Amino acid sequence: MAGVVSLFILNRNGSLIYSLETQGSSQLSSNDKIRLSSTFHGDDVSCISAIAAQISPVKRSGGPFSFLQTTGIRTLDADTFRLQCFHTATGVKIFCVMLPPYVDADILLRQVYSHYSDYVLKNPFYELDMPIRCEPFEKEVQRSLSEFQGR
Amino acid sequence: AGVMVIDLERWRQRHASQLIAEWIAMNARRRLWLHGSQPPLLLLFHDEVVSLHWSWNVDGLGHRLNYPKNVQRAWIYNFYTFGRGRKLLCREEWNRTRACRDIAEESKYVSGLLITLKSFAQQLGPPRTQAFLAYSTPQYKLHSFETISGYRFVLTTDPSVPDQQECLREIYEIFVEHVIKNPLYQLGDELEHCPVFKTKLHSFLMTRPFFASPFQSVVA
Repeated sequence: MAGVVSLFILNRNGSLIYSLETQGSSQLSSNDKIRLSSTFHGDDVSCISAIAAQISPVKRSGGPFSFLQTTGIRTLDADTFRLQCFHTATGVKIFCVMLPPYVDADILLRQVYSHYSDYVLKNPFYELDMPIRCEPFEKEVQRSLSEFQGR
Repeated sequence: AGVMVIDLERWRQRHASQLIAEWIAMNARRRLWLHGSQPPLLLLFHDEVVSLHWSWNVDGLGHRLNYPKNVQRAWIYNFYTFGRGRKLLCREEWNRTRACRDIAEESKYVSGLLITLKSFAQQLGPPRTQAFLAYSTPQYKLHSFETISGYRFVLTTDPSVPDQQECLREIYEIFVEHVIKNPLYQLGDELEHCPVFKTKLHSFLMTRPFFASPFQSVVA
């Protein structure tokens, strides 16, 4: 069954704080997931998103609120999958891996962000930038994912 | 209606008018072709032509502007060719609004990024993932085509430009035809001995709908 197979959330420093994989994905070990996620992110120079911004041939368009427009990779296509990333204004990155036929996962990523704000950030016991271990959040994400797949 | 641009100096040097008159006379004696003026021109110049950008053809003399709207905005920024060992063989640029300060550094970034992306894709994706194809940011989109022999062809464009694997594949064929088969070219050199490759590359890219920029070539 095609569609979204895995979902990752990175904090502002590029560390993995949440991951979700369904049966279709490649079943990485947790070390691999951490390593790959920080390769994707980039505040320091050795990472993909940072270098992608460095080699950009286009100036960032100015105007009011231009600091809110994030650079960084939105989609990444390979021959067997697509990765789509949602960059939030606070530096949190939410990305998912999809198999063909590809759909636009923007809605799903935004929903996950909204669950993150509701169930994680408002949780008084959650420390910012730490791995997410909030049961309501995980339940809601599972629910959004199956609704999204069901379309 | 079509548009043709002629270099009159070279036309005169080649005595083209005379030769065309001879072809037409031959056609009058024995029917060689069916339609008007195009065939003798093709017979005379066959592959010494360069395609013009579609916007030369101002059909309706400017009062009718029914070009597809999305084509107006799309842009191409850069084209790179990398050989084995991350060596930059060819770099072309158009329309950049953010100048590149250091070409050597940029080429190191791009080639390193491609290698990282390829291994990232192979690890993250399902098994049997072979290649990374493209990524897009809000500012630009980068397309990459890698051959089995280790050459990489890279294109950076506006994010709205669709998938360009076919385009890069055709550029690879032009590359094989005019660079690899060129006896003066040593494998691994930069492409100075192959001006034909650059001309063919430009004329091919000018036929792409995303190439909306001042044109450079006319009939050779």
